[in-house]
Amino acid sequence: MSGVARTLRTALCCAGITGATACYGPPEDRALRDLEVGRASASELEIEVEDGLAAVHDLTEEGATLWANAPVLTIRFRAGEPLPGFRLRIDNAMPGARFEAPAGVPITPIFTETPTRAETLIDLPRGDTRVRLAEPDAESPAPWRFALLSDVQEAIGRVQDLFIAISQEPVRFTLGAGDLTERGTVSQLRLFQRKLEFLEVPYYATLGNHELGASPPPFHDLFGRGSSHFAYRGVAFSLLDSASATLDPLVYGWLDGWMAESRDRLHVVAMHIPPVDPIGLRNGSFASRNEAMKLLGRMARGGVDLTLYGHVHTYMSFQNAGIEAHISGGGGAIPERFDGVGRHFLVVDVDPERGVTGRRVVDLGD
Amino acid sequence: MALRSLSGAALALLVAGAPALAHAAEAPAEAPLPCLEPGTDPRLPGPLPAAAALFPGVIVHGAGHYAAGHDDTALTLLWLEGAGIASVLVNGSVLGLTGASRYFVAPAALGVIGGVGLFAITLLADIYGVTAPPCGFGRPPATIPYLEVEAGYRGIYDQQFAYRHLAVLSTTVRSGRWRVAPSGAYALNDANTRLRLETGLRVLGPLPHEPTRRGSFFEIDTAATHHDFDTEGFETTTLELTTGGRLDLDAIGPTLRGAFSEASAGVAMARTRYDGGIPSDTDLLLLARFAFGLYLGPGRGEATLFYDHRHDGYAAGSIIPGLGSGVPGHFGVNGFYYVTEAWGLGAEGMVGAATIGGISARFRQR
Repeated sequence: MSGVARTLRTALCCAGITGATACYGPPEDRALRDLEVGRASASELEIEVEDGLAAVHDLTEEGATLWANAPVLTIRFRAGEPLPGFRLRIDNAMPGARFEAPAGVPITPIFTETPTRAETLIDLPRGDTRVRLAEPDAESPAPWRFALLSDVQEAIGRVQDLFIAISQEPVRFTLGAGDLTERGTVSQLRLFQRKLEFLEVPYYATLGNHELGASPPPFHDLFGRGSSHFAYRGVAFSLLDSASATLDPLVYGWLDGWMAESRDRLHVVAMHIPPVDPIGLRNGSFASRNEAMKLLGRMARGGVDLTLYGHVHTYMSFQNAGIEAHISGGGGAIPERFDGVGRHFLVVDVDPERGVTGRRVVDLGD
Repeated sequence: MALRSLSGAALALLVAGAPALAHAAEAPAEAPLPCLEPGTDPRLPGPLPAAAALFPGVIVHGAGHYAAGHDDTALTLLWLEGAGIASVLVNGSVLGLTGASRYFVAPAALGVIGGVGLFAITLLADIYGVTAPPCGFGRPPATIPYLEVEAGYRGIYDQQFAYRHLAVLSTTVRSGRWRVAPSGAYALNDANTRLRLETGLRVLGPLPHEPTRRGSFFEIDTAATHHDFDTEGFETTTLELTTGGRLDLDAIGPTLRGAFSEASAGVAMARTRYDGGIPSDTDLLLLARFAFGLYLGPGRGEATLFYDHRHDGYAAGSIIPGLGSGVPGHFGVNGFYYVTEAWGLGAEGMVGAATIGGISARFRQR
């Protein structure tokens, strides 16, 4: 943002004329924080998760704890001195995922009872070491299935029944399109992570407007990037931070790159606030219709195959700019009444060769 | 349904002043309304009323007038503030309890906007009434122009779009009760054009060639807008229907002479066509606007502070963090002043997703 515009916006905001973003920290700040996710250092040890696909919860020279936000992780260590018996723990990992280290770097897997926790001991040598965490079939082109669950908010106390129901589905992981909690505080986000112990598959999420209750939002420290991209079993996923009813220009730049590299793949884009609410009079959507249409046209031209949204507490299936779209905000937040939809999650079948082959709403009622 | 809600809330000011509004349509050509002459003004001297209008007036609207000895006006402002708060509470409860149900969201949102409008207008009216000169800062024109032309420049900053400079041109032609107003905005540094044609039917209020002493009116308006975002590869065509008007606030009390309020509401249907054979999108927008304004000079000009719920146009909706993301429209101030009978200057500033400011040259014929 130009200095003049930022100053004007701040002045108007402070005068109470508008609640402009200058008062609270714009989406740009969150996009910049995305760039720091997955990096940490402790004494003579540095860690960097490729593409910022995991949040570093804890790092010492004895061990590290990470929260994965993608099925496949590549972690780079740079040690100033050898660190034998370094304990690496990844929470929110794919069940069955295995650590891979370069030849000559001993790793000793540790059994855990939590299906979404991967843990190992590594004898980190001095210098750079790349460690990968992936399932053996992470590159398989076979059809598979994932779930979408968003907008839990104040229903966090009873979300476990949805997690248990999802665990009964043969899904590889669950996507979260934001509003995991009511205010996005550290305690609420930690509670959500504890509740995830009821879910037997990982939960990869972006944040929603309800995660903006603290400044800066602790989401990035606990869950990871607001905008991220990964590929898994022949399908590309882009999670975008639309929590402020807009995308930061930085995110548009990343999206352009992600669309270009995913051009030949099935590409799924998920974000919290949809560009356009099918109930236009409600405008549970981007602040600017102009920007919404710009984004939709860009995604359509960029080969996006499926768009998934939250924010509106119902289920709706529609098309935007010709792209298949689903709003699924059934995590338990105050529901839209008279829509015939209760607390629910969406199950999506994908086939890297044939595209999206199935969509099914699992409705648990009120 | 939406219009019913509007008449119940957003236009409560118009309703409160309905007798004056009806009278305006039949008001004979007379000299301007008498001012409060020196010695006849019951207002207390000194800063007490102005201070009371700020506190406790920010909470208890009319406190300034009460301190100034204008009990009737004070009570009317307080009642209208109460109506505004009640409208916000009732309609906000409807939104909350129904989860912004698609079946209730439009009238409830209009009720909230109207309530906020009443709150804001009565606050500003209280401050105005105890700080403005006895005659106000001006009065409505003795006859309204049958032709107005405006040409100017707008600087704009929208971080999502490249345009920074707009040339604007508009013409308003009035004949009897009808008004036709074509206008255009052309980006000077980008391929972006917005063309708009408004037509209005004045149901109540002054007409061209008919002397008047009031500015109050009530209109039914239609508009067609075509906004071409050539750089981004899409264009939007919007058809809209609105109804609303202006109320001279001296209908509430003599101290409010020279001030007016405006309110309008309606609905728009937008169709977006994308380049590249991408399927088009069609959606609806809720339109609502309220304003507080002042006449400047003897029919020379106006200054208006307004809220516009539009999420399209150059300003679009406000980008705010947190729970209200995507919901609010934009805020602005505009005004004009005719330095001579025919020639004048205009200025405008708006803050929404974009920040806009600029000036215009104006011409009128009466």
